[in-house]
Amino acid sequence: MIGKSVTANPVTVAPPTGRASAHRPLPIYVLPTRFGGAFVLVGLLTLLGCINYLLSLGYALTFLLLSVWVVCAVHASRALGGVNAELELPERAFAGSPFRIGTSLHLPETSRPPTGVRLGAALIWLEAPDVQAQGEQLSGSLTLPPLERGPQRLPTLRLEAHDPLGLWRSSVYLETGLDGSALPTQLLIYPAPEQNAPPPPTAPAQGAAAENLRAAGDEEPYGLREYRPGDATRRIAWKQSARAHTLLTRLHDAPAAASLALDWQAAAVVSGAVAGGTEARLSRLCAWVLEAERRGVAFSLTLPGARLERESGEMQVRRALELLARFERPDLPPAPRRRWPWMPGENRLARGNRA
Amino acid sequence: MTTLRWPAGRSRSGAASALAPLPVQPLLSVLAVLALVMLPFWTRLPLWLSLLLALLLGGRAALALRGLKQPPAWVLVLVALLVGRLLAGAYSTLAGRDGGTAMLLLLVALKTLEVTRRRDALLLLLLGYFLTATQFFFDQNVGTALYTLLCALALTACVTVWARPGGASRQVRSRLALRRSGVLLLQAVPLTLALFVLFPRPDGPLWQMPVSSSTSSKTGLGDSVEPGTVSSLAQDDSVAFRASFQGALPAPEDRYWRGPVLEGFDGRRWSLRPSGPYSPQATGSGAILKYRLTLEPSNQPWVLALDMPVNVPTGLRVTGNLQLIAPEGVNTRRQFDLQAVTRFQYGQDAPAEQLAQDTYLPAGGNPRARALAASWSGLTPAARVQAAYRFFQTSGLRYTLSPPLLTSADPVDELLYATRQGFCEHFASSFAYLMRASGIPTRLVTGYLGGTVNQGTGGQPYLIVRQLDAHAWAEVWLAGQGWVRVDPTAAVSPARLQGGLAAALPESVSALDARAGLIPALRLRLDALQNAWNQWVIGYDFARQQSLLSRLGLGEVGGLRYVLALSLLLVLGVLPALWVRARRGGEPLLLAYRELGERLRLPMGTSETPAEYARRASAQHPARADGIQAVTREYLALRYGRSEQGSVAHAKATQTQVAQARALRKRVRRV
Repeated sequence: MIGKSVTANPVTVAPPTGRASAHRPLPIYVLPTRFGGAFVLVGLLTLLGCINYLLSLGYALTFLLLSVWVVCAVHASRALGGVNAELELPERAFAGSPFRIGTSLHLPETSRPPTGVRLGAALIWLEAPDVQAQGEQLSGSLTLPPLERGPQRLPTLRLEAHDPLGLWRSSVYLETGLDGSALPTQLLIYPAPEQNAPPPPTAPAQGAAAENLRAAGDEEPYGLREYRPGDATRRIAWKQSARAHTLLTRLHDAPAAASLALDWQAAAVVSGAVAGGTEARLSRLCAWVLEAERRGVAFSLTLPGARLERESGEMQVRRALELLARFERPDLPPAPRRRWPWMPGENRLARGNRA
Repeated sequence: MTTLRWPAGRSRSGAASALAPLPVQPLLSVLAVLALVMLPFWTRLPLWLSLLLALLLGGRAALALRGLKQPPAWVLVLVALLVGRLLAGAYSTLAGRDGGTAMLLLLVALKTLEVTRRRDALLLLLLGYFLTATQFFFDQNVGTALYTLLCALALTACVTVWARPGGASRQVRSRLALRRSGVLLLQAVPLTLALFVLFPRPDGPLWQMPVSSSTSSKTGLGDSVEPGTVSSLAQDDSVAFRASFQGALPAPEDRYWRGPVLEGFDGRRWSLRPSGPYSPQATGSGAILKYRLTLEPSNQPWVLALDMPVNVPTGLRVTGNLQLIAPEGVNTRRQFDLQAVTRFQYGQDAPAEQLAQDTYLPAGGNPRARALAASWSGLTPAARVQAAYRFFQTSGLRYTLSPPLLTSADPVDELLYATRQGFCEHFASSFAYLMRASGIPTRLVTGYLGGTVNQGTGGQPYLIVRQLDAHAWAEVWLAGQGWVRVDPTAAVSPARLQGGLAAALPESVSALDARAGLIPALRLRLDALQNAWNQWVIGYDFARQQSLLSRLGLGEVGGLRYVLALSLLLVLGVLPALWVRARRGGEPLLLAYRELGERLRLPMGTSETPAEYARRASAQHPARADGIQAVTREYLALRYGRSEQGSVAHAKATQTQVAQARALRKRVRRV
């Protein structure tokens, strides 16, 4: 696992809820599937025929079917015992394009049916390849449909399992992961980067000797410093770190002239005929930030009411993207507790799901 | 703000599977299971339909194997309409039992050609369950019960294959599927039994519908008699009905089972005549015999009651001729609780017009018989009957199953004076002719006489009456006495009355010969089992349930004790499903060692080594430290120590491992 997903996307930190503590088992909801409904309907129809035609053996067969239906409910209710899961949010998710959420499933050491991991409408079935592999971690990824920009609430993670005949579906709504920490409930969606955006405006050179000035950047390594949390792993100087017995990060710089000044106004002007709405500007700025990251140059970002000073590096890029994502989008209120978790809730994802 | 549109998971997966062809092996297993379910219908369908069904299923299998496209839907609709038209012609209605099941089978077979999605396959399997249940329309014996269980097992196994979330896998592991299905069915058995015994059984059908179509073959007595009708039944030793008595059986000479009463006569053929709404006066004496009559399906309305019936069960009606009628016909095995008296008088108040009609003879013919009748004209009616009876006793008539054909225009004369050989219907018919000729109202009664006594399983004796026990006798009306039974066959062959057909015809056909010796004893024993099955499984109805419940002390259906017992049993019935533990997977030795954690209520951590765990556990449970350490050492030695059987085959090695694990588990439990 590449770190805890929470660090990759700071918004996702949610206060741990006391409800899903390890001591109290989560409620497992067992509901009939459509096939289960059809199965019981056939059983009842047969029963009606047997009553009318006084077929005693028909009763026996019908009761056998209906009993199998009941027994399957017991199987379904036990299919999810002890199963636990973990979510891994994508490092970056952009508006308008689907994104993948990694998931890993921990199954206890008993043979069990395929287990489904569901987020909203996205569903993936994971199954241990054979009996010997039971009790191991299974992983897969869910592809979620595109979302709008801004902080978005994720559907509650739901684990599903069926009985051997698929007559019942049992589901459990997980709120905490394997280690008891809360699962992410929100995801910050960055603006969709504009396709074929014009080149970003460079910052005006400051002073005469501007060409010789250097700023933090990506172009040439010039030294090492001690690792700080948040430094990209590819910047870690592994050889030197091994010698020094502590993690060291390479420092790079770039000519100061190459640094960019990304400005709200500039984004609007350049957009010209597109009549530059807020989202269009944000898209362009996002494309520029990504371009700056690709070039590894320092940049400053100016938005109405917010400004990032000129700097370079992972943190700067992330801060900039977050600023763009949250522009005019307030934080989400804490999720309301729902009485019936399987009912569509008040959040937009679920509403979209229903539409 | 635009509304977010998330494609629903269901439709997306549906679209995906609609594009991809269905996995071949699971599809073939569905076809095979459907063929299994349809197999028993083979004998009951017209041959062309059976062949068509086989062709459809086989064709679908071939399409799946070759990966070819399925025929378009309009072709299937066309075939369904065409064959449906043919079936409607063959069965005269599609609403009945035979036409309905034939149509259902056809539609299911056609549906297999239309399967494109997982949902269709599951639908077919549900239809398979329904078809399995329709087998009971035709037969409810032990064999059918076992066969339907087999069908249920196969269908359920097939459902486990298809119900796997994420789609059926390409490879069908049939043994695993069958085992799963078997476990499910076994777990469901207790609940099934509880429901079978306790589910309230209704007293009668909810609505009436013809079970069979009118063209299905008829067995047993018809609604008319001419020479040869009854003797054709004598070749048939299939069971007509069984009667189990509470207490003593009726005397052999009283075992007359009353069937159709024939009053119309055209000189050769006796037929039914509709009787008006008239209920005869009847008086009886002697003990009332109580018995339960289990009729085999005959597709006829006759309920063969012991002469004379005293009660009329609900759903039946009685005619003016004291004949019990099931208006919808006996199309399935039916049971009735009946009472009878064997000493009786009835019909003293018979309407004059009926009596007039019952002396009718067509003009002309049979001069010698008419002359004989005329010679008795000086006698009282009762004496005339006596005289005729004596004539049958003394004129050298012979009882035989294969009499010569009566070909002349005067069949009564021919029988009485020329051939002198006949079967019961010949004698009864001739006797009735003589009586009518002498002016006494007479009619022909068909039914059964006698029956084989079987001591039964529960000490309750019962009578098996077979088709070969079919019989015909006459009834004459005498003023003051009403209708009186006269059996001229008894005059000709007294043995027929006492010992049945086999005694009367010692040289008779081979089917009858088999009823002597060891095999018949076995047959009787088997029939007793069949009868117990009929009584307790097939005939488990409202009355039986009521008596069983009261014997168990549960009171009435719907009473407090009944409801308590029902809910208790329903809860208990679920237990077997809870008891079966999920199978653990993984290294058997490790699993055995892990049980130590469960025993000590100190689970072993996932990343903990056995040595670390043993230290921790010993610290927690100092009293058991020695045992814990010993088991841990043993586990480590077994798991990581040098193994002696390096060259032994893999399967053998696994076996030893399992044995070692079992031994280890035993020691763990002792810690």
